[in-house]
Formats: sequence, structure tokens, C-alpha cells
Amino acid sequence: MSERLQEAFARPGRGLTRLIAYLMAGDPDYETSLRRLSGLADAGVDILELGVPFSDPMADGPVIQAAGGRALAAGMRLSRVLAMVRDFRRERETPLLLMSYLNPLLRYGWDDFVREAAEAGVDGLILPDLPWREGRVFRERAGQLVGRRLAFIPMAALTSEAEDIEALQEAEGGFVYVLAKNGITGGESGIAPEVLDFIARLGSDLRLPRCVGFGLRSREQVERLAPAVEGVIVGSALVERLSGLDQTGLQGSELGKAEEGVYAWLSGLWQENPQFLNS
Amino acid sequence: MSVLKSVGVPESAGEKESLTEKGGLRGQKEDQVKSESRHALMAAGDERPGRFGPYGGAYVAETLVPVLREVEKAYAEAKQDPAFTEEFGRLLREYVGRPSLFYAAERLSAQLGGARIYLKREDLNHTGAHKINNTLGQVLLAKRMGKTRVIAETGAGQHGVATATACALFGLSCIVYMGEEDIRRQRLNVLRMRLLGAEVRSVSQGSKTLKDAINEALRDWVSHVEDTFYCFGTAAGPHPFPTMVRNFQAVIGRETKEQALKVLGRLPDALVACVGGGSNAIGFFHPFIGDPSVRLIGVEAGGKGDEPKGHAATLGLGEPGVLHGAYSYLLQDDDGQILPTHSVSAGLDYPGVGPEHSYLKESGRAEYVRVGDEEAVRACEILCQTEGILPALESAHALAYAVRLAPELGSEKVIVVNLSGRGDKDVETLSAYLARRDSDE
Repeated sequence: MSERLQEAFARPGRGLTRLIAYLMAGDPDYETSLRRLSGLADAGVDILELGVPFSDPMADGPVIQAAGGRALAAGMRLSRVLAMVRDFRRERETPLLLMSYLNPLLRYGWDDFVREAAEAGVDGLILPDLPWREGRVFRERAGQLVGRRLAFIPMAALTSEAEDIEALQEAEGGFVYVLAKNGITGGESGIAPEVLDFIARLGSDLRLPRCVGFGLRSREQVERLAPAVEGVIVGSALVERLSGLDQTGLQGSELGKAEEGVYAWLSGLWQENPQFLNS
Repeated sequence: MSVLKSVGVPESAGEKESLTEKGGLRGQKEDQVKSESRHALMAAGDERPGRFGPYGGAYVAETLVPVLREVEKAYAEAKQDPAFTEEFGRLLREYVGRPSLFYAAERLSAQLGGARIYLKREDLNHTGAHKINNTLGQVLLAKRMGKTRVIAETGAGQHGVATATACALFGLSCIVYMGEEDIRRQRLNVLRMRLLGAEVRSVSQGSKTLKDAINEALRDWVSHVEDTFYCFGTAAGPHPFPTMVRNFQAVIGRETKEQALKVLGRLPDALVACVGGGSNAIGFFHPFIGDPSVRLIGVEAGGKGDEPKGHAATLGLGEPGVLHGAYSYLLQDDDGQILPTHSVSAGLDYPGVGPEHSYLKESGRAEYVRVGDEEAVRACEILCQTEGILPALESAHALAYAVRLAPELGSEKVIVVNLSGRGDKDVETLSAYLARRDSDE
């Protein structure tokens, strides 16, 4: 499996736990999202998740739907997402996952995609419309082509039953993406006792690290989760703040400074001694 | 194969535009090797139910996997339970008014010459279309599963009306997702749904039509799995919907077969049905799949022509891919983004199609053709004037193809058209269309 990803879990997190931060590739354009990817890496994010835009993102809430729409309108497409990863990898070693719906990957050709993604420096894949058991043939084929260089990140849902969790035993490397709520990305999830129970059960059933996502946006949530998990995933809340900057019309160094403010907000979510808790 | 695949450097936005446009053209047929290797990914392996050849499956969020399994199990049990099948049968007879008529369209046939045309009158069902066959089945199942909240998507509004009707009959709450554009062009059905006690939620994302309404309904479902049943309107979507919806609609084909044997003393020569998602067509065709003498002809919306975004001819002009939980033909560009569609009929305005149709196309058992807006509207006028029947614009596509086909066949041949719905809902659309045509002429 990807060494970068393995290392991210071998060392302690850089805050209360590990932070995985999501960005939509190409929102609002190629250069800006590449700069932000690097900015997040430099801000100490443990793992990056880069979204591939899709016209019909059925697992996403309004914030990420809109981000994907802007990226597509700006000309983003899968070949350019891979180019962005190559550009990013010239300078940064932060582990990076691609999050993509299946159809753009199928259209590109699974074999070509898997080879090029591994070569570009992608460490793993999050595929929200490929449930784990439907994905077996996809994983086997990827294994034949690139060995274990791409980790397939399984998802565990509050609805998952024993047979679903058992099937995740096959997962190698990476982590299990625990969905904090039944629903779509965004909003705000209460961290209910049954979520914490579920996380604890997964810990005894699986050997994988557990990272929790969907509806995380406050330090309070992260503090509740941190003792129980190996990482937290922040997507919509970050995308919302960054796209808010794009609507202000700020440019150049002023925009750069405003982006630093967003990274500081993100640090406030999970770092031990955040400088800007309320920025 | 696209030249972009091997290029490492980012293309400029300008280049990208033109390539996408080109890729969006129906052309860009992908090479054989690529489509075969994709088929292998989709078809192989165990634990993968609900396949029609490589097509179908359940490509959904992990949260929905157990939920779909629950529906599948409940349906398998219900199908074996005489109490369920008897109640469903009784409702079809006493509430829907089945069997629907098998009508010899003699004036129409005489005017066209050639084959005789019969109409399977699904338009005479309660609520005015075939959709009620499916919604009664699914809402009965929802009730049996103890669900209290039913959601649905709708395009033309016929499925929304049929779901709202079934929910009213069983006292369940009903929410219908409908694209903003469809709400505008199917106002009558929106009003009917509200009168029936349903909440109609407008969907303003994407193309604001059926595909976007399905996205929203799926998002609702994944957020309310405990108490909610998704009453899916066509024989598409994730397993078990394509099979379950087809089975509920297969009453159309079974009756047709029985009626043809009684009236004609033999099977018909051709069946013609319109295909959007494809539920009326698959229900009509399915009991005849094992009868090779019967041609099965699906008619897709040719819209304004074969240019991308000008039609909804998924099987004719698309490529296989994954949308709304199933692997099937799709209208997509060469980046795998779903393309907008156009049809004068809201019910056919959909970039996907049920997986069993993809399989019937590929196996060659069924033929799929397309009829454009203008030809469909003309067929609508012809049926009004020769038979006094106003068909839905969706069904008019099927009729239009029969109008084209009949003169090519001998007078001993018989074509049965599935007249899937009545056209009252389309009167406003038709009058606007005809006004535009008059002013152009």
C-alpha cells in the first residue's frame, strides 16, 4: 500500500487527531485549487482528499454540488485532476486521496485511470457510489495493474449490518471512512452516543484506522470524536469558507491572506493549541 | 480514443471546451477493447445480484446497501405471499379498472394502409397512465414493511400522481420531487398531486428535470432511511427496482398476450412502446421475450435531432455507464459527465434507461428507434382525429413509429401500440407547440 498513507497513520496526528481536508479539484479554477491544496499541506493537514467533479453527485449536499458545478464550468475534467496531482507531487509529500463518482472513471477507462492515478502520486480512492462488495472486481483489477499502490477506502455507515462490516475485513491499507450520519455531505452532525458506540464496535471488528466524516465543522465535534478515532474529515465546511472568499472578489496577495485565515480556522478545529479559535 | 488520455500537461480551458463538445457528439464511439473491459468489471464476481448481462447492479452509497437489501427481501417474501398477490390483483381489477382494453384502431389503420394497429389502452387506467400498476405494488410493499413516509420522483408528473394516489389510498405521507422545468410544463399534474395530499418539492439543480429529481429523491432517502420507502417510478435505478418495477408492470404484457390470442387467435407481429426510463415498455415486452416471432420495438425521444442535448435517445446515441445506481446506457460526454436532454415530452426527457433495455438492445432481442418532437405531435393529432383519443406525448412517440411502420407491412400483420397514458396533462404544451408551429408556417 501507499507508504505515504501508511506513514500518516504510523506517526501521531498533528493535533487532537489526524485531519483529512477535502477540496474540489478545479473550484474555482485549476491554479487556485492547486495553490489551496499546497496551502492545506503546508498548514499541517495530515491527508488531503481531492474531489473529482461530477454532474450528478448523489452523495453530496448543496455546498459540494455547487463546488463541482463551478469546477466543471471552469473546464475541469478527470485528465486535468490527474495533472493537478502530478503538479502537487512535484513539491509536496502529503498523502492524497481522490474522491470520485464511478462514471468519469469508467469513461476514462478503469485500467488507464488506475495506472495514471498511481503514477501521478494518488495514494488512495474514495468511491461513494461503489459499495464495497460491488467493488471487488475493481480492486482486483487495480491490484493486478499497480499492486498495492492505491488504497481503496471502505465506508462504514450507521445502517451497515454485520455482513457489511465483515466484508470490510478485506480492506488493506488506508482507513475506514466512518459516516457520522445517514445522509449526504454537509450540514452539521450531532455526535450521538450511537455514533460513538458504532466507532467502538468498528475498532474491535476491524484492524483499520477509523476516520469520521460528514457534517463535521466545529472544534466541539472534533474534541468529542478525537479520543475514539484515528482521524476526522472536514469537507463542506472548508469548501464553503473558501468559496465564500471567491465571492468577495479578493485577488492576489489579499486573497492569499484571506486563505491563510481559512487555514487558521481549520487549525482551530483540530490542533492542540490553535492560535485562532474564532477566526 | 481521446487524445487527452495520454497527455500529462493540463489543456487550456479553450481546448477543453472544443474537445468536450466533440466528445459529446454521439460519435466518439469508444473502442471495443475499452467497452469490453468495462463490461467485465461490471458483470463479473459473486454477490452481485440484479444483473441483466453486465447491466444493472446497485451502485449506491454504502448507507443504502442494507436499505436496498431490506426492500429486496421484503419484495421476495411478498411475492410468495398469497395475501399480498391477491390484494394487488384485487386493486388492479377494482381500483385501476384492469384488464385495460385491447382496442382495434380501425379508422387509423384504414387511413394508413398496411398492418392493422391495435392499442393497449393503459390511458384508461385510473389516474390516466400505466404508472399506477407499479405504485400500488410498491406502496403495498411499503405498508407491509411498516414504512410511514413515501418519497418519489416524477418527470411528466404521472408517476407522482400515481404515487400520491396510492399513498392517499393507504394513508401514507407522500413527498414528490419534481424538476422546476417539469413543474412549469406539467402544472395540471402538480395540482393533482397537491389535491391528493402530497407535498411537491421543486428541484432547481442541474437541468431541473427528471434526472435531478431522482438525485434529490436519493439524497432524501439516504437521509431518512428508517421510516422512508422510495417508490421508484421506472424500471431503472439500483437493484431491486428494475426487476420489481418490471414485474409490477408485466401485467400489461400478460393481458396483451391473452387478449391477442382471444381476439386474433395468434400473437401480434410487433409491439411498440415508448422508452424513457422504460417501465411501460419492459412491462409490455417482458411476457413476449420468449416469443421470437414478435418484434419488440422501443421508441426513444428523438427531440429536435441527433446533436447532443437535442434529444433523449439514450440507447440509440449513448454509451454505457453508471448513473442513479445502475450500469446501463447513458447520454454522457467523453469525460463521463451526464449530458442535458431534450424532448417535448417530460416523461421521456431522461439521460438514462433501465438496464434490462440495455441488455435487450445488446442481445438484439429488441430494436430501439427514435421519433422526434414534430413526428410525435403529428401522431397525437392523427389519433385525435381518426379515433377520438388524445394520447400522452410520451405514448405519441410509440404511436408515431407505428404510423411509420404500418404501411411498410402487409395487411395481414398486426402491430400493438402500448398507449401508456392519456394526453390531458399535455394540452398546454401541445397548444404552445402548435402556436409556435403555426407562426413558423
